[in-house]
Amino acid sequence: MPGAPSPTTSIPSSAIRLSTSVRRIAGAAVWHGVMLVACAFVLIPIVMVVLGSFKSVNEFFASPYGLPESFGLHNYEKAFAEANLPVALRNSIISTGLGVAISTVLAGLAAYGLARFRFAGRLATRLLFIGGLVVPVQLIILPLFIMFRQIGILGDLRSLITVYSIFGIPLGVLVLTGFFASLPRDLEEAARIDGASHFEVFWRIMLPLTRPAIAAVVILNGVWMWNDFFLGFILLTKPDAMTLPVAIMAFRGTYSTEWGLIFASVTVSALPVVIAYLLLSRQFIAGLTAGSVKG
Amino acid sequence: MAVRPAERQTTDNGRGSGDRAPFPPAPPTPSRFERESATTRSPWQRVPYVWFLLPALVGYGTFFVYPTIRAFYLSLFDWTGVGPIGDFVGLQHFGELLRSDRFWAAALHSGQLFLFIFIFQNTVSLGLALMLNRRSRMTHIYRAIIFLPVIMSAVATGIIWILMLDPIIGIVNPVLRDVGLGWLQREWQADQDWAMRTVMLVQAWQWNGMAVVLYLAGLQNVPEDLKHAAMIDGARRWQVFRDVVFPMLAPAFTVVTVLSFILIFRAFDLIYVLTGPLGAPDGATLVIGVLIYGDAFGTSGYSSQPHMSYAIAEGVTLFAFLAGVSALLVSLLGRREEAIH
Repeated sequence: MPGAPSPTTSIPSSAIRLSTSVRRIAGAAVWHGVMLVACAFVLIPIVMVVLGSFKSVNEFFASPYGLPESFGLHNYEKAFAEANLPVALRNSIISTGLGVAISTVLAGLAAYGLARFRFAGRLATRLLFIGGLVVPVQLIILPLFIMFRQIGILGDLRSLITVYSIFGIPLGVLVLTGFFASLPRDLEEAARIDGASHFEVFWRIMLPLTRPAIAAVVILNGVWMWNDFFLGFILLTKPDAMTLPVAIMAFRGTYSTEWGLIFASVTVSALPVVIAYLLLSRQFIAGLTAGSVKG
Repeated sequence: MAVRPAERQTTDNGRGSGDRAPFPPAPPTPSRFERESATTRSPWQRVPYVWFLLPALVGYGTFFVYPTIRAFYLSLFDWTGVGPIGDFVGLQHFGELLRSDRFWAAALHSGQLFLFIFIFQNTVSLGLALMLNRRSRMTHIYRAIIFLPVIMSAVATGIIWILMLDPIIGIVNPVLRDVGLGWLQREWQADQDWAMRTVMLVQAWQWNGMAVVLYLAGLQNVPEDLKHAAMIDGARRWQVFRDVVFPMLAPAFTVVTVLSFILIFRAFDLIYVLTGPLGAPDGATLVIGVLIYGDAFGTSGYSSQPHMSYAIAEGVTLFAFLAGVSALLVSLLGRREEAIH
């Protein structure tokens, strides 16, 4: 440092620097403190259930708050055997997988038609689809229940797959129409002049460009279908058709004191979504808020 | 994990149909000559959008629009849900439900729940969003953890909190005792006064992350320059928030409010898991969504007889209320957004 600063100026300035850095550290400490408290509120309940899934019935009463004696998979084995978890897991995978696939295809095609063509009734059609978002499931499921009973698919997985495939459309149309509409028109016109059909333009050019929006729709619909309890609860009366949330609730009704088994089932049901979330948390957060931001 | 296979299925489905039969099925790629003479084209080729809309319209029309219209029709008849449809009763069910104490009690509970969530989201969630809106290595981790409950199923959330609040094996009471709030200890779910508040808190736990993330996205659109300019002009932090930041959050406020309004008034899963079909204890937590279920399928105890068409009338009323208020909220809050910008 050329030219040592005079003592009169250096002391106050370093004191100021010291106090600002103290203040910054204190501020950061408060910030981390508040964030850690918020995270604790989220994580402690979840951890308690996961720990509970390793405890025996006696352990719950002997040490409700302590760690389990061992991390053996006893409860999981028993839940898989007695709570019919493998079947429920399979049903959840089938209904969510098909529901997401079919609703995304239907919504994608419809959104493309609504976004890239001009025709009379376009706005009304769009409103018809998006208006589905304010229809309470409690209302629509009652006539559907009657309808499925008449055509004879009430109670089995086909009824749930049908409902998921259709109920996923409004959100899909909402998110995808906005996205398709934002793509430049030149692309499409160039391809049309080269002799591509409308479907080829959609499939080869537009669809690859909408990957992020499609991922958002898949996540959005996938999470609610996987987690849905109400629709499955109403429609799936046959035990071998039950999805995970329905099976867990049925199991809880019969084995209400078997806490360990219930927590093991809950952990199994939440695990696939949580793992997917840990791997793709940014896409999840973007996807789950995409529908609401565009709406 | 649940996402990947589904995505692949989507792709396979589409490609399969694309390879075998072009979509729209019949017409081969028209030559330039054909395209010029529109008269030679079939009517379907002149309206290509129909091919894109048709599959969704057929499915959605059959399994969504039709049942919705049918619900309005069925609400005008007397019908328990099995056997032939009974007599035409007109608007009698609507009159009945508007005079029903249970309906209004359930509506009140849903309203209280929304009010609480609204306040919670605009204090706690907004506060967390403001704090998260800074660059730090930990920001993404904190945000990911705070959002986590949003992806949990209602069944998982409900069971998690039944454990936490359990008077024998739950940890909420002992923790309260240890931090000196022992007077708050109680049998949360059995307490007539606290059962509904407990439901509200669990509901807030599940949806907090959604509001935090939506507000955070809104905050990231607030230009830093604007805040700095206000600071230089001598505005205090609170004034900057009130006069600069909060107005810029208007679109996020609209989304958070409308979304939670629809979610809360349709809510079933979490509340059913927590307090069952009757809104235990003694109807203290009965909300609209659960009431409709109980009336339709006869688990309501009040009248163990299922009364499908009456329940449908309740559903129609809820639909009208949701659609009306959502439209009102969107237009009011939309006008507010325009007034600000």
